[in-house]
Amino acid sequence: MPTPVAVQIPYRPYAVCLPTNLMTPDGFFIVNMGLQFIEVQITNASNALLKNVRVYIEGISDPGVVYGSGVQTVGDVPAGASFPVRFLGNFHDATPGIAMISLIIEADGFTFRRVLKKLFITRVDYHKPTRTYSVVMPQGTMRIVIHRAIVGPESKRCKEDRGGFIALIKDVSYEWVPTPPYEGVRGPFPYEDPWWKIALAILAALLLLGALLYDYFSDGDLDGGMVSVSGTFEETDPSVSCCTSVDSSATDTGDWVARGLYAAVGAAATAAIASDGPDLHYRGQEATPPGQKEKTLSEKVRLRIEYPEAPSLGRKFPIAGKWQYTRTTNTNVYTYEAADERENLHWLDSYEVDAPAVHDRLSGPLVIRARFKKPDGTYYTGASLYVSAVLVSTYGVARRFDLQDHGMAFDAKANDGWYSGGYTFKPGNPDMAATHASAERYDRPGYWYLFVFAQDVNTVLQGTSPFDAAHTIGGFVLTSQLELSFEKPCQLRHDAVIQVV
Amino acid sequence: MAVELWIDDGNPWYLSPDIWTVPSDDPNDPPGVPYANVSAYVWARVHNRGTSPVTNASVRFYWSNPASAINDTTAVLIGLSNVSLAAGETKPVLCVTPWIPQWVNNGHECLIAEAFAPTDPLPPRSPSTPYNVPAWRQMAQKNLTIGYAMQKMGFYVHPFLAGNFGQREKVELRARRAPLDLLRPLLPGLGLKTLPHEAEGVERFGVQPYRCGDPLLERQRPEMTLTLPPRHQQGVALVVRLPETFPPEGGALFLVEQIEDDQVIGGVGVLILAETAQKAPSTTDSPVQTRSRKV
Repeated sequence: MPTPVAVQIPYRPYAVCLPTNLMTPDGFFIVNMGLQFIEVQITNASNALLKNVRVYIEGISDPGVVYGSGVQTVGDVPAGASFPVRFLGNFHDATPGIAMISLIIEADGFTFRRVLKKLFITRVDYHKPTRTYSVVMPQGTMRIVIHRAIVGPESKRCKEDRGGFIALIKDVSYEWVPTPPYEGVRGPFPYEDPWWKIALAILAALLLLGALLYDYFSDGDLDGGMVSVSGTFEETDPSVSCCTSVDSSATDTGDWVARGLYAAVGAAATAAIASDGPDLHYRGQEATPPGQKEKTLSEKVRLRIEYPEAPSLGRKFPIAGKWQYTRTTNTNVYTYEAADERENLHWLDSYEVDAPAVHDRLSGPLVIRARFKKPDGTYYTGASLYVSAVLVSTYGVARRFDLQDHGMAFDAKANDGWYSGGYTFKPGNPDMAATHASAERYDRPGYWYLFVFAQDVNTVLQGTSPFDAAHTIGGFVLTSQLELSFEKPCQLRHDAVIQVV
Repeated sequence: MAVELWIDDGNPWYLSPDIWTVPSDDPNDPPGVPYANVSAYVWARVHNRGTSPVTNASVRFYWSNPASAINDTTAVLIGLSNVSLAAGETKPVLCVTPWIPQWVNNGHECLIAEAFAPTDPLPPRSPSTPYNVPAWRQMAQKNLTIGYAMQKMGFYVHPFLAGNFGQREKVELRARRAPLDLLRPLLPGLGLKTLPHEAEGVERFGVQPYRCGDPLLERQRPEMTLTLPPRHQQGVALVVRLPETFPPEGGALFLVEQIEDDQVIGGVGVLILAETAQKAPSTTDSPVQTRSRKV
């Protein structure tokens, strides 16, 4: 009698931003972003090859999430390999909170297996008169005011720019109003997760994308309002400028390669101080126990951040912060102050990218591979990383694809630490090359610049206690293509250049 | 036909064994009867009896105010799911959106599921078209209440709605006691391990017009003809006189059917068990099926 196919989904599904092909902070799904990919890593938990694996979404509990039906055919999956499946979802009408997704996995010779996982969904609103952002969740709303920020160059690098495209938060305060008020030291963890820092990280990441896209921020109506990044801060720091300009080896139309990285910088810096270790909100609660029967009505945190050096992605940059936590109960006000010095924990010892110097479009797909060494000298493997690549042409076209360590397609062996992927150039019709309509059907010969981005994955297992879960965040860029500098140009460096013939 | 989706009817057709509920936060928990205001999951068993596979079939799940006839205006969508089926394959399909039963009509609600695909669409219908469940192979209905008889209860009252979705001015209702063996296919989905034995002393029953608080008629009649304009609904009730002590291991199944041209166009099933057979709900909320009325 057939048995259910032996597969597992150890980690929660994550959101991938369409234009950048990067994972959102901690994989959160963001209502304001509307369309985003739902990606999930599935592991062949057997010790044998699984043949003709197929996956589809049986359903999502939030009826506001619209997704495509239909089955994705994965192919044959080696023993122990983790493979991704990706579905397009529209979260425009989703409700902030936790939704359940049911996935059906099938393979020849087995009965299907149903796996239920959680999707973490949030929404960011912006109230113009008070310059207040609101991050909305079922347990309450976090209201955030950015008092001061360092803003990047004011050059018109991007055609649609409404301001700078680097924004590092220097002075921020947020207020958390729990719903309902609670007794004791702390209320329930929003999203059963380290919400306090993730809310800031999501906001920091969206600040930059938000300035450039309709409906990233809203006043609650999602009505297409446009927001200028620097205009949402009470003031920008006049004494410091991040990236007086950006020296880039390649620029795609729309500048999405850079935008994704700038957004990631803000998230990494904010999360680093807010922080990767014991959460400052958590510590503030611990230090201000209310009396018996007292109910906490609101909690406020004021955080002032210092950057001893520019917070470049994938580097072990130091960061310092002074913060004050204030608890207001129905009878008292409690405060606690502290100062922290921390380091970014999301970095690599090194990484390697293998790519040919010359590629003939008629010889088949371009195949590249990369591996990523951790600070302890071991390599990331399998589903512990989300790896994406982008090829940028000299004429502004970008081609995106993912790299996997699953022993399928372009990848030689599962879980060996080498992540491989490929792109098939489209020779197309050279006569049509100059027309706009041909841009998606034709890849011109010439030099193409390769960027390979690795992001860590939230590896908290479902069922982990909230306290333990709070120590792990994912979705941070570990590779170091973007080097930030204060008062001098920043550098955006490619990983390889390929001559396409 | 290339793709032929089915959700099987029961016997009678409105007691489908292919629809069941799990009264829990975990849909993989054992099936059972739902409780008011307590989250439950709804499942449907979908069959592809065609000769071609289908990769993009959809399944809609509805609940409805208990009524002898239902259409799109009275059914409430719970959720939508997808299913892929090979030719000849059967799969249980989960409605991932939880259902929180409400206290409608004293708690009883009925469930409907329908499966369809671009290659096997549903029969055309308008919002006012009564669901023709026995004629539509892709749709099934489970309209069964489990109620509990308490000591010295006197009467068991089960209110529901009679709806007139036709063109006539009259609606005909018939109640009957049915053999418990009809429920055998439904046992797994009801959370019951065995069938109760037929309870004695539960022979007097009938249907009557009813709204909450109305007096019960002295003489119960198992048949009733209502004067009801088209597109209207009216509250009615199944009323069962109970013995002083309901047999602890006993049960009684009643069916109330709406008849038109000698055809059953809708029905409600009511299973009465002894109070001692009742399982306590997991929260302080009252179970959907429990009601007591002393007259």
